[in-house]
Amino acid sequence: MATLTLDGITKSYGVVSVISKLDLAVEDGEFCVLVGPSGCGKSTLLRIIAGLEPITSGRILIDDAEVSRAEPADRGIAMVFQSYALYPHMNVDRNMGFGLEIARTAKAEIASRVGQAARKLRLDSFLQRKPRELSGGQRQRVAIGRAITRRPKLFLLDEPLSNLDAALRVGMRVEIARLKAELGATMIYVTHDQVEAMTLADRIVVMNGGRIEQIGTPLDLYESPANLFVAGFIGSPSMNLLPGLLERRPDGGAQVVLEGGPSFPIVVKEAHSTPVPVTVGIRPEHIRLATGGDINLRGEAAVVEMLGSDTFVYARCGEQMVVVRDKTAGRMHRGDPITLSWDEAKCHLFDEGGRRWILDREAEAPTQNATA
Amino acid sequence: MTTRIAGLEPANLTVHLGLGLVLLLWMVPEAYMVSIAMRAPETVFDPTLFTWPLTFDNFVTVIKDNPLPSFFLNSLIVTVATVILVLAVSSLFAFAVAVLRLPGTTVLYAVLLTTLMVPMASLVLPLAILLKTFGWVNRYVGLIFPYVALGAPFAVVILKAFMEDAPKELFEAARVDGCTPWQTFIHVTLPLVRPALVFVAIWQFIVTWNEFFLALIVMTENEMKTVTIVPMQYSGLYMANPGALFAILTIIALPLIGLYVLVQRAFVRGLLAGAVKG
Repeated sequence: MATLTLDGITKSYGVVSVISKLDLAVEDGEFCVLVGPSGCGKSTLLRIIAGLEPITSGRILIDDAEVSRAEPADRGIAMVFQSYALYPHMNVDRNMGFGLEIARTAKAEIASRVGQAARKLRLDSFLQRKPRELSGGQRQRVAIGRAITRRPKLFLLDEPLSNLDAALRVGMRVEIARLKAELGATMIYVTHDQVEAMTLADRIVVMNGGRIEQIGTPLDLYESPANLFVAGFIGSPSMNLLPGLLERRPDGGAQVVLEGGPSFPIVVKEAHSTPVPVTVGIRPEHIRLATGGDINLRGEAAVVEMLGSDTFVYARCGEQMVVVRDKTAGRMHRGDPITLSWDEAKCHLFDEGGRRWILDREAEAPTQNATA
Repeated sequence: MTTRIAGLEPANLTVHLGLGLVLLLWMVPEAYMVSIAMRAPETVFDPTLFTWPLTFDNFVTVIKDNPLPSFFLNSLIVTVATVILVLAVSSLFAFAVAVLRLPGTTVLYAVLLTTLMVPMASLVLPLAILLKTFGWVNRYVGLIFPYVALGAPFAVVILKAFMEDAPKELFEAARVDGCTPWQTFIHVTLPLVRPALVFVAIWQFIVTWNEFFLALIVMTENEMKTVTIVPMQYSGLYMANPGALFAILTIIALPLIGLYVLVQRAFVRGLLAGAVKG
């Protein structure tokens, strides 16, 4: 186990900046997930931590020892690659023990460690097989086993489940969660799958354009997204983002007027005398297909997606498309008229620059949002 | 079973007949070579493909006339040494270009490629002078080093393509596992490109075994001659012995045909493996 500190890391390819001045501290034993859309720099950051990409500036510290220029093998890390990267000409046994073999570990010790890892990952009966004779899930377990046998300070996992089919992915996710509890090791996990991020992480780092947008626990990010990007990225289907104007009411309070829709009172510290553009965020699961909320909208069902457990209704309300997650909408059809409602207490407000507007009701319980 | 039935379908039969015909045409020179090698002097200029009676006299003549075991041994020494050196040099260079991406190697690679365009005939004279200066005439190294220099560029092209096709993560995994570049080369890269190595080895073996021009110039002493020089003595301006000539050509070709039959699967796999990314 170890701590990891990234101190002012930057990475550029010529004039193209891929990662701009990034700071991150990962605690001992923490499971930290880097998440973000394709090209956001999360895999590059992981490769930088592994020592496979040189940094342009900054410092990398593992257990407070600087390793910025150290070779991957000297950093005490192990990495699980997206494509597994198993040596095709070696059997499972040798694949898992190869790192130890190179480190000139005694044969008995290699056999013991490989045996332990194989038992832990239920690979005992496959040790003599070549990777091509294994299923996707088994290969993934071998890749994880190879990392475990090295007993690294830091586990780095680069989208390890993305090559598996949906059913296998769920199984491996549970497996990784079990390993995480069993090993108690510090792990950095890269994924673009937010279900993996939400279910596995102690803390999630949301990245975009080579910057950290927000760091927090899964629920922090879900309940208090620091900005529009995080609000739109975390949650599936993503949060409804409705444009509107925040304006002062004649009685001195504030209200939001949704574009082409209703207005509703909202309590903010200060409302400008002139209306300011804002974005109202509301999660699909917080909208009801009924009247009676603080905000009521009329529309018609444009698309109805029935998943069995849930139904997603894409409702057209004027110019806006609003997604609703409901358990009772199973019999709804396209074109049906519907009424949507939700409570002001469930709304998120973002200013013109996309930053979260801390509402009065939220001010008492400040979030741990850390925007970079 | 399905394959068998499919094999009998008229369309497949036509394709196979067509291919068989092309194969027969392709085999005519070989068949003619063996046929002439087994003819008596009076039928040797007969334009038909096969004549009667068959005789092994020509083979007896060339075996009696020449110390063939010594020529074969010379050819074998030169060929095996060349193949080993070409594999060693070209795989290391391809590794430096494709995997390590050492600075300057791309330029070196481009320069190396230009040597593929130079015809052998234009190299013979400078090479002969160079070899004479080094004192390498009538020595194995006098053939081995030029063959390696001439064979390495093609081998590098093949091996570099294979190494570039190999998943980069494997080399990165080796780095994470603590491999030095040398260990990555030995433990990861060479096993990965084994089909290409087999292909290059067989190709280089055939090219070197069959090489005649340089061998004729460099190996002038009888005990240093390689086997491909032997046919020369049966083909002169005023005298020729076609039966013996084709007998020795058959003897030279036999080891290669045997080698090809043994390794043809690996050879074809090597040819195709780089074509489609797996």
